Amino acid sequence: MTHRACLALALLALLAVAGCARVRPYQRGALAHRALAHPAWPTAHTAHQHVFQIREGTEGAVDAGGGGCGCN
Amino acid sequence: MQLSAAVVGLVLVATAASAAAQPADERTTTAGVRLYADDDHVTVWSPSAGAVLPVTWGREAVVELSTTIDAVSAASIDVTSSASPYAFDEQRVEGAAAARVAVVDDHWIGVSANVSHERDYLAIRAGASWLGELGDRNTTVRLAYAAAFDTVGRAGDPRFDEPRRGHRGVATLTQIVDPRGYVDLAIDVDRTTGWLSSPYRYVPILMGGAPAYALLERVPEARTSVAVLGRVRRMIGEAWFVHADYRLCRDTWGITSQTVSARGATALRDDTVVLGGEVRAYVQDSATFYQPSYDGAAGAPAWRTRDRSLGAMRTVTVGGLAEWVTPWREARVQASLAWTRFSWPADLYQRGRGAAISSLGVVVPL
Repeated sequence: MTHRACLALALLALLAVAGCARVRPYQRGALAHRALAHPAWPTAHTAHQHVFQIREGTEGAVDAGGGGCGCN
Repeated sequence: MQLSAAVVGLVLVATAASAAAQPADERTTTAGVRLYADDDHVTVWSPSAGAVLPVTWGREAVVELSTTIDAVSAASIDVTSSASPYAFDEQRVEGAAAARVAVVDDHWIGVSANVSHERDYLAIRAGASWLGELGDRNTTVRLAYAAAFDTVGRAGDPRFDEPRRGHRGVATLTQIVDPRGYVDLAIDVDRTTGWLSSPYRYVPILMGGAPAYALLERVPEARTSVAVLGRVRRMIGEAWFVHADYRLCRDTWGITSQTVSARGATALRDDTVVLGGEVRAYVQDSATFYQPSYDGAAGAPAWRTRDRSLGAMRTVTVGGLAEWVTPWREARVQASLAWTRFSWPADLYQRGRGAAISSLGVVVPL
């Protein structure tokens, strides 16, 4: 099952990269909005993950949030 | 005891996320407090503070510092049935530092270190990472590795001193799909070895269906887990934002878990107020050796645990979030309140628990 999940992830990654139009910096106003960042609520995110990591049996892969907003 | 390992791991992941989100961050300080309170008489206050400091070391660089204290007050059935008949108060102190530097345009390397201490657990983490923004910053790729050097102790027993080691690799990809959304993908591989059992938890052994004696928990001394994540973040209409993700985990103890979560938010009052809500559902099956109790007729089982976090369980969470950008320095005040229900259908002592998780934080640009 894990192997199939990894394969699906790899295919998704390829599709994500290959299927996307290139977005220019001047088109990224919406992408730079703070509500679209991950995590948008850092303190809440930390509080929740803190609890889930202790109470639940598995962890990992909770964060993936790149920039690319062109606002740097 | 597991608090240190879990939280230090979380800080490393959080550091990874912040590094990925904004390589050239603005100078900010943050302060916050988190509160966990459940219907099993456990309360945890967690004040925290941190700073993000862009610097120039011949190249563009960023330094991050943070500290957190957990003040735990507990009279849970877990405590009174496992360790002692009494409630306890405990503190955990953690410090974290991370730095990253732009080696060439749009390519960053980083290092991080975290130390957490409580009376029966010392957690030390060290990590390194590379982040690249590719394709005119349409694609962000990050590779990270962290090593763990932990020491497990037992309160009141200074001779108990067992090592726990870990290696963790994380690969993430964020892709801009169009001018209104991202897709995130991640894979996280973790290998932990050493003393992974609780030094406090006893497991009932039955003879002829009746409790005969209890033995200290023992679980295998190695565990490897793989977790994968897919997430969509998207703006809808003029002022709505949605996040939705799915996560799948599998480990060598036989646990498979799935998590689905979604969040919606809207911006109001010229973008100075954001209100949102979120839901999350988690389900896992049990480790192959987990049982709420064991039959001792054929001798004591080598691996034995009644840790409910290793049994079948479900979690449901609903919550609300709010943010206000103040006129003073455009400081951002964030608050959240969520209610979570944990369910363990096979547990002998407790089938469910409700908990409130709240937070209040402020981010001040300097």
